[in-house]
This record gives sequence, structure tokens and C-alpha cells, in this order.
Amino acid sequence: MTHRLGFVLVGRRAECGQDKKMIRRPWTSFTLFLLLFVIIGGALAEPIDGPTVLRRMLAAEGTAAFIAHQVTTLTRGPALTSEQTVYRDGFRGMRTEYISPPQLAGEIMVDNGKEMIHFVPGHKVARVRPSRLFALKQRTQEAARAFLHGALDVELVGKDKIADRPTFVLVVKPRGKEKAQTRKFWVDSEKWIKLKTEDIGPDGTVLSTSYYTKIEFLDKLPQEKFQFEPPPGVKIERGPARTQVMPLEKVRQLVKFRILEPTYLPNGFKCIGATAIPFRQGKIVVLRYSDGILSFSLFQTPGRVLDRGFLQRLREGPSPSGKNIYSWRRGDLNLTLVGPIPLHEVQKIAESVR
Amino acid sequence: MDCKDIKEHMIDYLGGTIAGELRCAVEEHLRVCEKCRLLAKDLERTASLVRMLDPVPVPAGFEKRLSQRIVAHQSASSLWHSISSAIIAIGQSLLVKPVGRRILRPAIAMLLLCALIGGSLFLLLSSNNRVDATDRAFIEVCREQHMSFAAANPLADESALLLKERMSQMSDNL
Amino acid sequence: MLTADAVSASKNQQDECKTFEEVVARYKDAIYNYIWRMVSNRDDVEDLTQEVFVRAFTSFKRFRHDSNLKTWLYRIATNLCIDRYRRKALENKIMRPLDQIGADEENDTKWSDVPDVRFDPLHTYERRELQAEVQRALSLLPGKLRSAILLYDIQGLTYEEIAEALGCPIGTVKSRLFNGRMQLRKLLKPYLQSDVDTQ
Repeated sequence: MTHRLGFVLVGRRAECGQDKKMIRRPWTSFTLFLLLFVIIGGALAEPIDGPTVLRRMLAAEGTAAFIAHQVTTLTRGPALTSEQTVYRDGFRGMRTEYISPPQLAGEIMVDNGKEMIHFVPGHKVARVRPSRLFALKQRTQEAARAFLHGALDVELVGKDKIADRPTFVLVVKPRGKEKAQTRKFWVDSEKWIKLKTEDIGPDGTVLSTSYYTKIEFLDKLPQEKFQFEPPPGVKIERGPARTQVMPLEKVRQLVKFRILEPTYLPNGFKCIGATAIPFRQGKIVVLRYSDGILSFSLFQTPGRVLDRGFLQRLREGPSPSGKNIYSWRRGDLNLTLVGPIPLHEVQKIAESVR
Repeated sequence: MDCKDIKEHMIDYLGGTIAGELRCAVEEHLRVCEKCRLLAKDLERTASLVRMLDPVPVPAGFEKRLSQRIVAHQSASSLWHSISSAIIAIGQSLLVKPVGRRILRPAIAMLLLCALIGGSLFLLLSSNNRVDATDRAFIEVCREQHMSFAAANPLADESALLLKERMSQMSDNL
Repeated sequence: MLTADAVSASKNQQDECKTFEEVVARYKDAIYNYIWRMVSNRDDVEDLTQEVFVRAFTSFKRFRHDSNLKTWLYRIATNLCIDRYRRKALENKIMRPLDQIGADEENDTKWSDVPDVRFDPLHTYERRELQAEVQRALSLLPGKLRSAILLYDIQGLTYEEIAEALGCPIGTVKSRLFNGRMQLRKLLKPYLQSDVDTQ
């Protein structure tokens, strides 16, 4: 269309006579420039495909600001649905306020990028936990790298509407795995925020769903929104806030015991970093593993730091210490694996630890 | 009647448990005192807010679990009752017989030693099956650390992970 | 209504069990809901509720015939809630025991305004959000005031029954009800001015 308009302008100017030659030249140049801009711009514009949507989705983690009402449903194990109000401002802050179910109603999690405070109604203590946003910032870069290095398969499968907003539907899974857990995202086609997420098991069943029913985008949210004022009588219990993931070599220098590593990992997983956290009179070393979608953590610490009764219970092979938590002993070290890894894989990991 | 008096009778008034002259006096005061009238309205409203709370269903299988617990409790009580009765019976028979008196002290010493060994074994066995407070602290640290890491994946469903984590904590505590 | 007489009078062991089943069926919802609203840790609710009935079962023979079965069960429940949190406070050295919380505040109706931790709500409060707020306010009350409010407004006990369940004079019951509602009034201030029909 601009094309046609340019020719008309040039044509009309030509009719005005010789005196108008001086005026005709700038208009001609402008039109030509406009034409070039459109042609080159069109050539350079990203096609909307899976990788583009994923890149924009990752970039939006750090920039988008909104208030939303979210519904989350777990469909595996006991089915459960929660509703919460979410306030988010990129990596600056996030606040989640649970509305339901009754067990969670009134709970608040406030993350200001440095620490996260978890308040449970009726508890006289609000606990400080590691900031998820701080870790999210690191892991967003890691996810982008994983994608660039070909660890993930990304496919745009269609369009849909969520919370009355148009979205692109994206499926992401670890590359090279036939049966693997996948994620499906409905990404806002204007703001690039994921409005709905589905976690799909290797057999194709939906394990969990989260989606926004309403969302309001803003330029910015006030910083006070991400500060927690404890109600009267409630204290804030501080603990380790930020834990930075770093190369394993750096962590070795921080602890006195020899860190063990598994030589066997489930298909697609690799070590993406380590950290050391203070615990009682010692330290716990954490090795982090991920296939891009799923992740597990391997904790190890000398037995003297832990309770004798607990240690006496442990054997050379993994035994459950909680849901998706297995512990075992290797020499005088205690090892604990946390993550959605089947027991037979945990056993192989445990056997391979050196 | 002044505002201080009204406060004393407010609950009864709102609950409808006063009548006659006292009720009239309260109503008259509320008619002229806006502050107390507002207070009465607010207190009535807080009560109605509390009353509108939905009942919480008792989890399925509660009665079955309760009866198992009662049976276990009764068994433990019966065992203890039997043991203590036996000890008393032995003690009484030893005291009565002349021969028994000579071996009374060694017999009591033997009984006490058995009780000590049995009690220690019981505590040892039960402590090995128990996850005590310090275990929980360690496991909680591991769980929280992992959750922070897992939920920080931009390709994860953080809210689903958070929900699973809270439910796991609650079911582990059961 | 089942009376203690009917229960403890049964001589046959099997009859007693069958009658006790009726007691559980009749009161389990009420006791469960009372404990649910009393304690902060939801994981304790079923355990405490079961403990109430275990104690009731083992103590039936000693149960005083002049006492009301219902108030007796509530008394056991209240004492268990207080004991549990007193023990946890000693273990954790973090929380104050339930019966000590606000012991010095019980008669003090001054309560600094609880800062509203949510502002700029996205939409009008629906019923379940309001319920969450009310439950949160209840959980912030001192234990003695909370038990009185729950027994009166939710469980529907009379002043006399509450006095028997809590082991205090009727005057104290009324005082706790008044003070409890005054504190709730401050905690639930934004919702008291609403004209939204919550029923």
C-alpha cells in the first residue's frame, strides 16, 4: 500500500511544473526511503515460529508487570485446585496470595528479588526462603542457552484465547527423548507472558494446569507491593536467602569434605551447577541436574551434622525420606535426592556415586 | 444507661437473651448514641461473618482410622495391665512363702533389670522408626532448596510446584 | 439426644461400642470443624480430632453423669488444642502456647490496626475470599477468645455450655465473646462496611 502511495506522490509532483523541482526531490527521497524501509524491515522481521515465541517468552520474564487471578490444578495423585492472586513485576518482585483451598487460604508469598517471605495465617512466624526470582533470573539465561545448544525441541502448535487474550500455543520438550515430560504454554501474542501452562507426562496425560482467568498489564507495580509487613505478633524468621548456583569446582573450595558425583544420570539430564548452604555446624553441598524440563537436586553432607537416629536408619541404598525424597549413606556422607525421579533411576544414581 | 453499661450488655442484647426493662434501656441508648449504634451493627456483622464460614468436611475414612487407633490403644493398655498384674501377683506370692522371702531381693532385682532392658529395647526400636525434629529440619531444608531451584525454571509451572510442595509438607506431617 | 447415661449404662461391651459409634457419627463433624478453626497447623486437625474420641472412649466409665456429653467432648478438644501447642512451643521455642497467646491482651480491647496486606484488589471479593479473610482474622485472635467465638457463633453452644466446656464462669464467657468480636471488628474493618450480600 505504501508502495502505491509513493508512486502517486511522485506522479503528482511531476505534474506541478519545473519550478517545483526543488520540492519534488525531498519527497521522492522520502518515498524511496520508506519503500526501502518496508522491504528491508519485512525481510528482517522474525517469522512467528516456536523458537521466536520461546525467546520472547523468556525475555518477558524480566519485563512484564501485571496483576492476575490464577487457577492451578493438580490432576495426578489427589486432585487439587488452588486459586491465587498474582502480582508480578519482572524480576523486581512477585507476590502470591492464596484464596483457596481452605488449607492454603490466606497464605502469602512475597519475593522482592533478594528474598522470599512465606506467611501462613495463624503461624506466629513468617519464614524467609531463598528468592525464586533471583534464581529465575539465572535460570532464564540457562534456559535460553539450553535452547540455543539444542537441548530442547520447541514447536508452535496453534493459537488460542486465554483470559480473553489471543495466544500462541507452544510445546517444549527435551530433545532426543522419546517418552519425556513436556510442557505446553499459551503465550500472550502481545505481551509474551505465558498465560497458561500444562505439564504433560511421558504417557501424554496432563499432570497439572495453571492459567490466568483475568490479567491486567501495567507499566510498573509499586515496590511496597513486594514488601511484607508482618501482622502484629508475627515475627520474621530469617534463614539463608539467596543461594547462587556456581560451578562445582568453586564449591569444592568451600567445603572440607570430598564431594561425590554420580557417573550415571537419567537420559537427557546434565549437571547445571552446584551450591553450598550452611546447615548447623557444617555445610550441605547441592548438585543441580536438569533436562530442561524436569530437575532434581542431590544433597550431600557429612553424617556428623545430622541426627544420629536418622543416620542409623540409612543404608547404602536409597530409602524414602518424604514424597520424592530419597536418602542413603556412602561412607560417612549422607546423600539425599529430591525430585520427580522414579525409584529405579534413583537406585542407579545412588550406585554410581563416586 | 451510658456507653460503658451498654458494652456490658451488648453480647446479651445481640444474642437476644435480655428482655423487659433492660432491653428497652439498651434500645433507647442505641437510638440516641450513634457510636454505640455503629458498634452494635459492627459486632453483629462480625458475628454473621463468622457464622457464614462453610463447614469443613471430615476426611473420608475418618471413622475407620479412628477405630484402628482405638483398638491399638486398647491393646497397649491391656498389655500393660497384664504385665503390671503379673508383677504384683509374683511379688505377693514371694512375700507369703518363707522360702520366697529369701529370694525376694534377687527376684526384684531381676525383674527391674528385665524391665530396664525391655524399656531400652523399646525406645531404641521406636526411635529408629521415628523421624524426629532434627530429621524434619534437614529434610525441609532439602525440599525448600530443591523447590526454589525447580520453580525457578522459566519453563516450569511454578504455581503447580508450589502447590505440590505445600501438599507434600502437609501429608508428610501426617 | 444421646446422653452419657445411655452410653455408660450399657453393660455389654458390644453394645457400648455400637453406642460409641453413634457418638462419633453424631459429633465428629462438629468436633472436627471446631478443631479446624482453632488450630493453625492443618496437619494436626485429624490427629487431634481422633485423640478427642480416643480419650472419650477410654474415659466413658469415669464420665460424670451430670455432665453434658457435648460439652465434655468440647472440653477435651479445647484442652488438647492448648496442650498440643504448649508442647510445640516448648520444642520449637518459637510460638507462644495457645493459652498464653494474648493472655495479657484478653481484657485489653486496644488492638493496633492490622495493616491490610492486600490492596488494590483485582475484583470484588467473592464468598470464598471473604471466608479466607475471616478465617485469617480468627487465627489472629488469642486462643481463649477464639474458642469462645467458635463455640458460640459456629458450634451454637449456650453460655452455660461454653462455661462448662471452657471451665470458666458465664461472665467470663460473655467478656471473651465481647472482646473477641471487638478484635474481629478491627481485623475485618473493610468488610463491615460492605453492603455485599455474603449469603
